[in-house]
Amino acid sequence: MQEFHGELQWGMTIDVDKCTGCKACVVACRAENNVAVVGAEQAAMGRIMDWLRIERIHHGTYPHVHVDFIPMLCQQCGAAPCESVCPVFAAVHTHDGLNGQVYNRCIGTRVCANNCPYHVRMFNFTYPTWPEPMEKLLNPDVTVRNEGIMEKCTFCVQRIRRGTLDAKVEKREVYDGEVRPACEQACAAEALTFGLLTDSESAVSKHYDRNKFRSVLLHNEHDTRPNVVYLRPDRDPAPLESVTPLGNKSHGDHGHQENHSEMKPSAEATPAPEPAASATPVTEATPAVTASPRG
Amino acid sequence: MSHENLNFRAAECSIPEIFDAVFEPIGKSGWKSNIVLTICGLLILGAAIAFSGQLYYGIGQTGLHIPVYWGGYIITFVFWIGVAHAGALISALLRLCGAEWKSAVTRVAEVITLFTLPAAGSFPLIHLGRTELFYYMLPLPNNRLLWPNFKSMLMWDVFAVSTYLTGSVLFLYVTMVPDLGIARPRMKGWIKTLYTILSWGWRGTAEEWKRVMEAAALYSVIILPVVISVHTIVSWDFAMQVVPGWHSEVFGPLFFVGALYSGTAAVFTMLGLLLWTYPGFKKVITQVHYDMLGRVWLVLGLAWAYLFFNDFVPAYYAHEPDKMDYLYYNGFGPYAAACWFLVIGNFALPLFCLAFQEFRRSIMPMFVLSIIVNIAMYIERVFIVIPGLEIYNGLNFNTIPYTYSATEIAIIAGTFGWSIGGLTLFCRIFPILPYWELAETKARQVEVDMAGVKVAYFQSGE
Repeated sequence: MQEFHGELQWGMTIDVDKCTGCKACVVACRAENNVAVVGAEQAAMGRIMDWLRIERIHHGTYPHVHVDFIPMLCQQCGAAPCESVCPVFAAVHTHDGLNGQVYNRCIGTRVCANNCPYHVRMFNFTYPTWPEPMEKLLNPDVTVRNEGIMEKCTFCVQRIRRGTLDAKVEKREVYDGEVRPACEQACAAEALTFGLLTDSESAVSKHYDRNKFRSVLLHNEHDTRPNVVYLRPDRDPAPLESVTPLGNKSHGDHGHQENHSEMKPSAEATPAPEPAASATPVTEATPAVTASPRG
Repeated sequence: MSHENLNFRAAECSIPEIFDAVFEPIGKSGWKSNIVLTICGLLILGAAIAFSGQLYYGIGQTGLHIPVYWGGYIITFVFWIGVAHAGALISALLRLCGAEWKSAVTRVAEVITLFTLPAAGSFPLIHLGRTELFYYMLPLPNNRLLWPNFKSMLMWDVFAVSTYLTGSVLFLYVTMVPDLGIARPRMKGWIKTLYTILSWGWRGTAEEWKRVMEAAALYSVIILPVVISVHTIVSWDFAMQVVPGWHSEVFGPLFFVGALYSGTAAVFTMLGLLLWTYPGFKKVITQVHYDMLGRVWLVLGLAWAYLFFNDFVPAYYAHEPDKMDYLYYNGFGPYAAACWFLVIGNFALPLFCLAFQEFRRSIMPMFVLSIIVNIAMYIERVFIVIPGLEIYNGLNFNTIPYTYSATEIAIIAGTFGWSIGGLTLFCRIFPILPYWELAETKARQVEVDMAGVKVAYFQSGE
């Protein structure tokens, strides 16, 4: 049973079975959060910034090939590796269980990005720019980050703050669905569900409870206690075993792992620790591994 | 350089001759040092221009990109920290061990620390995305009551490096005060004024000597734990992170021994340059000194090799998946040639060469070997930092290898200019060899002619 430190804990479930890989969430995220467009030259140097990206996990051998799309965003870890290593408290844990990033405080040591198992922290190597009409479309609620600082998915903290403050003004609790991050809003397949994990009546809690048997925490071997829960595809048992989204090697599928000198996506670069440590499916029998909503 | 016998550990000339040799370069300029200083000045100027450009245009002037967040600056930081460890080892450790031959090399080592440690310490700041805000890492009072994060290993780094810098400067200065005091009456012009100020009215009374001896012994004891902690903490910058290839238990001792190894190599480089520039020093720095320090170097090389192979042989036998990727990438990946140069230049070649006494006693081969070892040690630091980050890559579309940009090369070259130029300038102004220690060793060495065979022994210093 996960312990929540504050009164509120925001969380998300991502149903990998529903994700079509359309990248609407990626575009919505860029538009909402003023993520800089680095341009072709910088992109060729490997400095593309995406707070949310779609990872493609291939399995099977031809002709029985299957692809899973894994939307990868900040997991808002309960025990975040990025927070403990920041020398100036620019990466901090907020009272409602988010991994905050204080842009003013960040001095750009980049140690948090090295230490993030999910590689979701993005660094501003250049001054932020946008192509011609786009600079007029910036979201006024979100800071434009300067050169030299780290940024990452915030669960659309500006929407969370607005929702909680509205509720406070009206002297009520935040109702479920009042706060919706841009990615969740844009998802046509409704693969993403966002809400309060601390509210047992919220959609995310109910969705999680219903699908507990196929829930997966990514890179659980680092004990980061993520608040984003992935729901693996619920097909017949054989593909289920080989899906193992991110952070787990599929045992029967060594076809594309022969050449060790090649760089690999983290899906394959991380080992599969045997006992219950890694991204193991959480079943009713082992409820202790993953997050559980609390009323 | 005539003595073969290892018992002759003092200089090979009388005490007044030692004085003349040690203080001969002071206040004089020669064409050799002028050329060195000019080149170093240009390098520093280039680095200043490059750093201004980086401040203006941002950290994007480097070759860093999204999986490889740390690069050349951190590599060179670790390299300079390693070189800076020469001072502590040779001064403090040999002083505590009572090795009489140390006096020829102690100050060279300490001065290397004096100049390379600021060069090292500048890199974590240059590497910051927003260098102008580096003071956020210092525990300064502010109206928001914000403290730095003492849980972060980068904070420990700040305190460790600054403590080591303070300690080594004090150590160097305290042991230099007698020399300045002794030499003051025989100096001329502004150097006499400088020595007068810095020697704090040294008269050479028994009480003053007692205090200097006690201070040197005390600093030796205090600085050793500092030295060990400094480089261990530098290794923890890597070892405490989740990156495969970084997350290694052996990194603490490996970094420490590697630092001493490369630091000793730097001392040999410096000694070679000194003997080339000031041939008068050959009477003072003898074959025996080279031989003894060469043995220390050999031992450190063996220790380094032991720890280095311990880093990956167990992982290789266990076929640890992360580490296997890392090893294959190192040994057979894009950097394979550099990797094998590292193994040969750092392990096979030095350990073979240093096993021979004739090699240890010859200046030029030791100079060349010290350069090779330090290049290989630099490559070792490249292998510590870069491949782990390139392999630990969650962005499956982003496989661009890291290369140094022109800005990085200019700034790194500038720190070489700073260190070498600083050392050259120091040699012109201050005694680079500790006169009083050399004289003391000479005075304590008793030479006896035993039926035609000359032997030497040392009287107790007490």
